[in-house]
Amino acid sequence: MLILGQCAATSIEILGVYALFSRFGSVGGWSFGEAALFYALVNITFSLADMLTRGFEVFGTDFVRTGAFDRVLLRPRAAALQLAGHEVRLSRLGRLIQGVVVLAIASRLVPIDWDGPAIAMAIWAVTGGVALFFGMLVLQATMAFWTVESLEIANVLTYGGVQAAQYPLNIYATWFRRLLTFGVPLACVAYYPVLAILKRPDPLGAPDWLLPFTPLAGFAFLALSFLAWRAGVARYASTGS
Amino acid sequence: MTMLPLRPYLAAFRARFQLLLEYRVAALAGFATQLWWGGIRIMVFAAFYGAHAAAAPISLADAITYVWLGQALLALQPWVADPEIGHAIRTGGIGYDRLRPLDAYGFWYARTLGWMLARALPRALLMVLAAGIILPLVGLDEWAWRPPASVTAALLFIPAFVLMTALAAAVLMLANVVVAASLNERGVNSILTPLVIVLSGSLLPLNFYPDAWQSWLHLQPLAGIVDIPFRIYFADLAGGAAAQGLALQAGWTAVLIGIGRLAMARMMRRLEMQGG
Repeated sequence: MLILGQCAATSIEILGVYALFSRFGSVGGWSFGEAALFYALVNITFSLADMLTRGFEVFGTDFVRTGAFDRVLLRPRAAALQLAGHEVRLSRLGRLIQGVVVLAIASRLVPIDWDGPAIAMAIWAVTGGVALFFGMLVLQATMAFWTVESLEIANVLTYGGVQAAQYPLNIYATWFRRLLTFGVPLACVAYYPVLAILKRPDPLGAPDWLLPFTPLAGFAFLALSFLAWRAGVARYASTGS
Repeated sequence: MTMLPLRPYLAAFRARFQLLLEYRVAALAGFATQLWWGGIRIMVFAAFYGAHAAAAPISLADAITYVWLGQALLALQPWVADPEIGHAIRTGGIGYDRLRPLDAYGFWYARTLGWMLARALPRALLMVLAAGIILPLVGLDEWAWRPPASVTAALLFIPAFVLMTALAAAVLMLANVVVAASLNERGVNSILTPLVIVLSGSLLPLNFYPDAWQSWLHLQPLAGIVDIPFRIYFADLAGGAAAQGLALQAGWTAVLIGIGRLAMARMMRRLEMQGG
């Protein structure tokens, strides 16, 4: 029931995308089928990351505020590992399922040549993307060391990022493109890999050889997030219980 | 030390104060999210308009105003049942409501209205400040939230806003009754949210959807929550069309309140108390 609900709640976004394309035809040289590929890839990535990182998402509310983090720290395993395994939410399967469905639709609408390199690229992009979203949630959790609460502001990065990365990068203003490439490297796990899968040259001029390397940025982001996390754990003082 | 007896009071005051501060930070964080969200939606609109503006049913300036209005009044949209009702049902607190010498529907309706408005109005004011005043001041005039199209539009928007709030509360009341009957709000919310997002016009103004759907999209009850009042605001609906829109809003509000009262009376008769 919840899975179905999740599926419906996230499917409506693609309805909006579809309506815009059917009204306007195309945008920035992209058709609906190609845009659907961005949409599918980002949502598959985010649903996987979301399923695996619930412990970090509720870290402020459920661990720092209640003092439950003390118990986590006492166990002889890495705190981050314990949090990642805190709770796996199957209701998030809804987003995953609809992502896969949209991927199938996109593959029918545009001729995607799903050869070995394309499949490998898709999996590699999803891996990098999961690392990136994981990094964002770790950063959100790290903020809780200072604020004691989980703040909604992090949704700007996670859900807002999903929202932004569902569309091809070249439709945005320059400053926003830079933010999505160098600040929060969502473009590196969605836009550039999709170009590589479609075997299209970048309309913005990134060289072709660079495209397969871009998902590495997700792992770099995750590494930096864990550095911040360690600084946070070092200054952690329990709230008691 | 003469200060000593005061210490617990000071501590209690500080704790309470900091809690309030925490809520304020949370509200500001929510507002920042809404601002950011609106920005992304506007950029997407701008990109589509850039290529084929002629294909659009409303101007880009109006579409931008539509987005900001929607972000400002987000908390008025009935996409989750009132959490207090679910709580009252599970704890048995609902029993007190049955004992009150009041009309139970009216009592809950008023509480739901209060809950919605208290969340919506502060954020709406902040959004006027940010998108209506600051954006033009920093030179982003074309991205700004514009004032109503005319004095007539502004005057017509007042009843449209009142009816939109009343209608949204009536929808929520139906959801609340289902929550009370099923003892669980997650199922209701998971169906309510997507319905409201699409059919109210908050995902996209309704006339962006394919032409074949238009007639029923504009007649269904949820259009009165977002689409009708907002189009009255920028005078896309004017004169007779505006009057028709207001009549639709009022009609659906009356119908949904009627259904809600019946459903609630039935539910209250069958209610089994949870122990407390």
